[in-house]
Amino acid sequence: MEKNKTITLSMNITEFEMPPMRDVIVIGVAAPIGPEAARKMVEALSPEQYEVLIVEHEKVEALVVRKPILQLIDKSKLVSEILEEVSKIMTPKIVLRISLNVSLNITKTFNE
Amino acid sequence: MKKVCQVMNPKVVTISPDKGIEHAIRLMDQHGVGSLLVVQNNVLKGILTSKDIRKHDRNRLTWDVMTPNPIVINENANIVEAIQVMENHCIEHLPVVDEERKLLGLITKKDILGLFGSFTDPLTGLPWGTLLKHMAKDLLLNGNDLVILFLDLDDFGLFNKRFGHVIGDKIIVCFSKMLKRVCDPEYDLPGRYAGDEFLVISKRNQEEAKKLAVKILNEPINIEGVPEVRVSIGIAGGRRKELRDTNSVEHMIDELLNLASRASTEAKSTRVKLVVA
Repeated sequence: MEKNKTITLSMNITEFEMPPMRDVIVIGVAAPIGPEAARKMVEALSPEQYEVLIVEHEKVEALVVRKPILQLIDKSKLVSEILEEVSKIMTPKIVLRISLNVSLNITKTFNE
Repeated sequence: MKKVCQVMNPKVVTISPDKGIEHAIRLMDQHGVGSLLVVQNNVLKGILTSKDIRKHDRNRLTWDVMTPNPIVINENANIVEAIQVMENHCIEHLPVVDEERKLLGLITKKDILGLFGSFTDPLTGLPWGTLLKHMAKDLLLNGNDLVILFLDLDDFGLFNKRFGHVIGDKIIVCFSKMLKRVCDPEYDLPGRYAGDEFLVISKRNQEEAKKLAVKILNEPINIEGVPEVRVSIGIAGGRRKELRDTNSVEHMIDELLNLASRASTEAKSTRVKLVVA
């Protein structure tokens, strides 16, 4: 009887983006990481680029937001919009990441 | 009165806030404790209990699970203050810190009860006169003026002889409950002086103390099958407009106590019910 044993190694290689976070991380109240752990992570990977916002919400404990976003839109407005949308799909145990596009449209009219 | 630093346990189990919950669980199991003090650079940052851990994912850091800024007590506070803090906040363990919130030890209700137990009356739960005098001293040293109400149950010896000591104890308990109910913990410290004599040390002025005395006199103490129990009250103090000299605080308290006691004797003998010294 012949015995033949082989091992097949399969690898999926992708680039680890730097920084690996998107614009916003949403941390659930029962998620595996909390706000302080998230703060340490973003500080280690992208120093002074992110701000941690603790929120009062039944499912969300905190948002970690890229600072430049907060210069384009009011903090409390951004938080309430994000919470409104994520609470529809959120469970307390997960961490979500969000890519945001913020554009400013300005129209001016004046008399010639 | 013993200070907290003389009674505390200096050996406490601590954890750094950067450690994970799995590490906290191992520490609790290893030391057989239900909570850990969270310390960074010797400064107390929070407290982590097994209840906190049950509410969160075990992957978390201690920072994200602990209760920050726990109730603490200064090393120089006395054990009476420690018990009051524990009872006000319904806690059994109190971290002891210095002025900079550096952790020095832990004091538990169990640690104090052995000492404190001798200061309270087991029948009524009220502090004995000895403890009340210490509390009065602290109040005076903190700039409060005091009034003392001395309360003496009328003909109590006859109640004991006629109805028995079990009934006598019931009367004492009933009276104590009424006293606790009528007194305002914001201002009044009720206690048992001896036998059928009670004290109230109060931050009220004399006029307010008289109102309290009248309220006490109007509260019936009725035990089934026993005639109504009456009390005579003497009041001393509560009239000064300036702070008393704090150098002779103990003498001052004894003087007030004596005056109030003699006033209650006068109230009893003249059947007036309330006499102000």
